Amino acid sequence: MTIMSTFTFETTPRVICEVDGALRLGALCRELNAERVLLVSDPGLHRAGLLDAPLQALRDSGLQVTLYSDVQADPPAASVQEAVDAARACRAQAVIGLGGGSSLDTAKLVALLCGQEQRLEDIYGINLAKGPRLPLIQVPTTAGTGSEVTAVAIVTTPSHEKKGVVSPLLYPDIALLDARLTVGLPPAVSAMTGIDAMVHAIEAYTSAHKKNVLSDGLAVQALKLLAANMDRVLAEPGDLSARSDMLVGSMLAGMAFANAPVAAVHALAYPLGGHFHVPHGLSNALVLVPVLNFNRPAAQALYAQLAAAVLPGQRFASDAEACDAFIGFMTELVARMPFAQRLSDVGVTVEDLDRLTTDALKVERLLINNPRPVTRDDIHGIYASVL
Amino acid sequence: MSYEFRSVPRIVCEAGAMQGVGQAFEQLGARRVLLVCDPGIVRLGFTAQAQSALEAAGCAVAVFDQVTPDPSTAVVEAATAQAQAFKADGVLGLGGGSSLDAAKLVALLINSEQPLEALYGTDKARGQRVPLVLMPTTAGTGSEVTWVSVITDPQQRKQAVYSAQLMPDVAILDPLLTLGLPAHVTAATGLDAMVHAIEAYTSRTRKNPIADGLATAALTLLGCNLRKVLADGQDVAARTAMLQGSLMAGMAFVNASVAAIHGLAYPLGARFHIPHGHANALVMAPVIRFNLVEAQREYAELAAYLLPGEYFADESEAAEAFVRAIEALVNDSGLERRLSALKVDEASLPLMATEVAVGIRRLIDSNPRDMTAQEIEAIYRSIF
Repeated sequence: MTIMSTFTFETTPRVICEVDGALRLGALCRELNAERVLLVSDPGLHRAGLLDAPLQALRDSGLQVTLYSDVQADPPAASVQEAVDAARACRAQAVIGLGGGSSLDTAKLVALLCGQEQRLEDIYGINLAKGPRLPLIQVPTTAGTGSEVTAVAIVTTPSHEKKGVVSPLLYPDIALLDARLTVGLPPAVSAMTGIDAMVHAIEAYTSAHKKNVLSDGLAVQALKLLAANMDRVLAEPGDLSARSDMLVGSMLAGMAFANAPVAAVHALAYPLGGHFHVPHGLSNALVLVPVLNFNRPAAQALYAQLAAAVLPGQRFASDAEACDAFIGFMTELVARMPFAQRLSDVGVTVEDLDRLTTDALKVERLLINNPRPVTRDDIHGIYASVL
Repeated sequence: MSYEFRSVPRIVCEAGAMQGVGQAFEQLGARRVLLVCDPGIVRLGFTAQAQSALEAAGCAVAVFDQVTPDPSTAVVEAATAQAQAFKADGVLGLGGGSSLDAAKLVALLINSEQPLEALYGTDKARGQRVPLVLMPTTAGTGSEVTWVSVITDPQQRKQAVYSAQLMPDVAILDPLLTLGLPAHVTAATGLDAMVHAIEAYTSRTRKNPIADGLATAALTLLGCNLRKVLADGQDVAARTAMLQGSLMAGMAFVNASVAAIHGLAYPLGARFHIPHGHANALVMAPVIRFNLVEAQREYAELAAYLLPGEYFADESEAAEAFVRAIEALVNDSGLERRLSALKVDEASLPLMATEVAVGIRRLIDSNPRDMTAQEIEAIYRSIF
């Protein structure tokens, strides 16, 4: 077993896992010395009424709360700026992000840009942002992106490029996991985001460069929780125990990949989002199984280790057998999920494969983390196999 | 189904990582650092190395090198006074659990109006501490990733301060600092770390899936490397794994609690000055054996991590294998295993048992199996 003995590990210093914990947001804001807060969320959650109880609880505890609920998917820079303006207008002393990855990413940038005078376009890249930021609490409503424990925020620029701000300042003060907020997720969303979280754990565990004992331990535990609860939340959407375990699994996977970055599954997924507006989790799910099969020659031992996490108690005669069992488990799991299974189901045609391949190759920063080197032909072949 | 999990926000692990300690304070905005350590660390030359690394990054440094085992309130107060006189705006703890625990309190007290005794208990501290970096030289207490400090008051009682502010900004793991540890310290601190992982995983009060993941990973690292570092103290890879395992076990137990092993160990430390790790090592095997009837499932689960690659016919076989493996590790550690050989007198056994059953109830509450004073006394007698 090769263990990376040199590493740096950063994470969110405080995680609260509590059903109905969102009703305690007022007290948590007070702990962070804030009286005026901006709640950042999206129109869908607002319409669904999911914000009512947390907003009321914040007001009941005497805080001045302003709601910004216009976060858009893959947040455009202009939308982030609008949220920043809202925070300045209400002189917010703290920011709460409540929602999926887009809301949490927006909240990170609002806290950063309001805490220290700087322009968004000047801080794209790694460690270019300056602190301090405003106090920040992140409350995910999917399980999920893991954004509540990552140091990245992705923005869509006016020229339709995706750019990222990477800085340890983006770790929130508190990540609050409230399973109640996830019971209403439609099955397809539960499934896509759950598979996304599993991909985070798998790719962190097989990451070629920064994998370490901490990311490994967290990834294994994440995968264990996610594998044991994925079917349960689809069968029983109101099962708070299973929903909690999915949230914790997603967060642990986030802690893992924040320190041991993701690889080819994500690289091949990005162009599907960019060109066909396939949701991030579904893009990952579509290419996951062929990438696992492709990686097998290089990652067999690692996949064999992960077999114990998804199939606890089973014994295997060899690494090859355990690796087969792991890939088999993931293949069957993805196949029974209530979402599209083929690229053609989301509008991709054979003519699109070259363009997708070209764009996937551009995601060099992730491809370098893949356990097996990936060529242009490999990528094309993977896409073609799931067309 | 509600729990909190706190973590140190930044961990650096690298052979030679101590050289980066100056930059760590630079990033935290501290320029005047009090280095808290003990005379042994000075003799090993680590204090001078850390001081050079700090000064190379432009930090002014003062050294408090008088930390004692189970540090007294007087030690913490003297270090705090020195920090204030020096106008320290950062604290570096370098050493075993005693130095790290003292450093945490100094960082908190520098700008505080509160007297030390006002901090005893949970979340009593007000205000913010100055930047704090911790570098352990044992593997270990896990103190570098916990928000608790244990000190000894003037009445010779152990007092614990639990406070979120005690969590450091950065934990630096440098295995080179542990290469020279004597075998008995390596054994005692290594077993202590294993106890942290085991008691976190079986905690009846605050067991949670995050701590579980860290505890299991820690147990594999510690269990697979303790004999290696005992056989060859210069094995950098094994020393690194022990530090990493100790850190993860620390993250686990501080978020899930320890239990009866720590409970039974406390009076041995307080009354007879048996080092904390050794005291845990003395009682761990009999307590685990005692717990087996209630903790069979958890111990069976842990068997997979302590004995990777081994398969068991059923839960009871796995749990029994786990208990035997622990007994064998303690046996092979080379540590003295009889209380009578450590100057514990027989008349103290019932007194200690009562002290644990009544005075440290919170730790028994976290134990997988309840314990009466009679049962505690019987455990002490079994190793007398």
